[in-house]
Amino acid sequence: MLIEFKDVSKSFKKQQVLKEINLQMKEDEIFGIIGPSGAGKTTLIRLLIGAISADEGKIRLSDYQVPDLKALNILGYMPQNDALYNDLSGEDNLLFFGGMYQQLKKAELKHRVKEVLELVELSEDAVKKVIHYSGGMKKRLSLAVALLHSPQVLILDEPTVGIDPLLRKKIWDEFYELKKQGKTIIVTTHVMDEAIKCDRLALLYNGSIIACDEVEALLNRTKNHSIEELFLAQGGKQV
Amino acid sequence: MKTWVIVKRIIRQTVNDKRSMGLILIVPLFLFTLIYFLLGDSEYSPTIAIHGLPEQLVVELKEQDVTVIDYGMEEGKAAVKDETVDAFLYLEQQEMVLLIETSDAVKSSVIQKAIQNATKELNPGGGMRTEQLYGDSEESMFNNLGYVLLGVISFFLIFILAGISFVRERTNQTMERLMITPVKRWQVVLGYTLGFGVFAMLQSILLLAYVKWVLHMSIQGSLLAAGCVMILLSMTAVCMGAFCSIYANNEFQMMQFIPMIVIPQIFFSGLISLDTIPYHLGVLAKVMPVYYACDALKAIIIKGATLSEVVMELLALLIFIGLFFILNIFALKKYRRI
Repeated sequence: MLIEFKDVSKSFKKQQVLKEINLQMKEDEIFGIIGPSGAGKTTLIRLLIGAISADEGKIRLSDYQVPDLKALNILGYMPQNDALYNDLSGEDNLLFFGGMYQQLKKAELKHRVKEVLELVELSEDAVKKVIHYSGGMKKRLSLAVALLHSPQVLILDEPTVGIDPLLRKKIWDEFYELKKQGKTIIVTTHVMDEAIKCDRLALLYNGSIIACDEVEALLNRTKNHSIEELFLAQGGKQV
Repeated sequence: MKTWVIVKRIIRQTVNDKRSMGLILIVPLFLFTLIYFLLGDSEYSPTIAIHGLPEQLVVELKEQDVTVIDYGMEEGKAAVKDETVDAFLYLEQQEMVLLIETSDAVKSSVIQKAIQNATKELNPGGGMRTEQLYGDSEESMFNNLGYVLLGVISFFLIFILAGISFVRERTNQTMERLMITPVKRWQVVLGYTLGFGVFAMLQSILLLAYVKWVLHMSIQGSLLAAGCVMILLSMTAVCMGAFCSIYANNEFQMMQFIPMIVIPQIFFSGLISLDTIPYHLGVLAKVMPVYYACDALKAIIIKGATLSEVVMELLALLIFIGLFFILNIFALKKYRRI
C-alpha cells in the first residue's frame, strides 16, 4: 500500500469533520473520493498533504509519516481553482513552481517544462501571460504544474469541473497513462459520471466512509446501477 | 536558492503588473508634487492694516511683499472682521499687537513670517523679536512636514501592495499550491520580504532623489542615511502588510486595515506634537514603526544627523521587521503544519 489512513479523525472547533477514516490506496490506481459538499473531501486531502494534522490516527505516505516535508517531493497537487500567477507567462509559472523542488536541476527543469507544456498542448502559448489564457488553457496549465516534478502521487481536487467534454476526455486519458506508469491518482469529485471513471471509490458522507470498493462492485450493490442510491440509502438511514 | 526563485518571481510578477508599478513608482512622486504645491511658498501676498507703526517698520513690511494700508484703530479691527484685510498690526501702549483672522493656517503663517522678517530687519537682536514658530523663515511648510510625509506615504503604499498581493495568493490558491511543494516556511517569508523589499528600496531611492533634486527639499543630513531609514521603514511595511493579510479574506478586508493600522500611525508620525497629547497617549507612538522612522528622518533631514545618531530608531525598525518576520513564519502554519 502506498497510502494508508488509519483511524484518522479530525474536528474543527468541536465539530467533527472526519470520523475514524480507514483507507488504503495502491500504486497504479485511480482512486476516487466522492461525496456531497461538506462531506469532508477537502479536509481529507488537506490531511494527506500535511496542511493540517489529524487529531487522532495515522497517515502514511510511502515511507513517510505525514506530515513530513520530504513527503511533499513525491506529491503533485492540482487545487480546485487554477492557482496560477496571472501576471506571469505559462512558462514562468512552471519554472517558478519547479524551482521549489530540489531534485529538479536547472537544465533538467527546463527540459521538463518543455515536456509538460507539450503534454498539455500549450507549447505555443508558453510565453503568453496566464491572464490572457482561456479557462481550459488555465486548467491544462494547472495540470502541467502538478505533473512537473513527476510525482508518485497525484492529487486532483475536482479536476474537470467546468471544462468541455473534449478536454475532459483528454485529461482522463492522461490520468490513465499515468496510472500505467505506476502512479497513484487521487480524484475528489461530486459528479457521478466522473466518479465511475475511477478504479476504486470511497463514498464520503458526513465525515465517514460509507462504502469503499471497486466501482463495478459498488454499482452492483444497487438496483439501478447508480451511486446516488448508495448515498440516498445512507441518508435515509440517518433520518 | 528557493528563496531566490521566489524573489525573482515577485519581481517579475510586479513588473508585469503595470498598476502595481505605477502605485510604487509614480503615485508617490505625484503625491509629493501635489503636497509641494499645497504646502509650498505661494505667490500669495497678504494685505495688512496698520495703525501707529514707526515709519521704518512700514518700509520693511512693504519690502516683505506686504500690501500696507493705514487705518484708524476701530476701522482696522472691523476690516479684519469683515475680511477686507488679512490682519491688523498696531501699537498699543508701546506693544505691538497683531490681530489676525486665524481660520487659514497657511495665510496666517505667511503674515506672521512677513512681520517677523520685517521686525528682524529693523531691530536685529532687539526685544521685539518674537519666538519663531515656523523654524527657519526661509523654509516652507513643505520642508518642515516633508519628512513626515516621506515616511507615511512610503509606508502606506508598500503596506497596501504587499498586503493585497498576499491576499491574492490566498484567494486564488497559489499560496496553497506553493505550500505543497517542499519549500520551507521561512524561505517563503524571506522570499516575499526580499522580493517586495526590492521595490520598497527602489521607491525610497526614487522618492528621495525626486524631493531633493526636483522639488528642492532641503536635506541637511546625508541622502544615504535618509535612504537607509526609508528602506527599513518600507521593509517594516512589507512584513506588517503580509501579517495583516492573514486576517483578511479578500482585498476589501485588507483595505479595512487602513483605518486601523495606517491612519493612527499618521497621527503619531510627528504631524501632531506628542508632548502635548493628554493622558500620556503619546506613549502609544512607541509601538508604531512610522513614529521611529519619522523621528529618524526628522533628525537627518532637519537637524543633519548622521546614521550613528539615529541608531536607536533604526534598531527599533529592525525589531519590528524581525518581530513580524517571525510572526509571518508562524502564520504560514495555517497552510501547512510543518
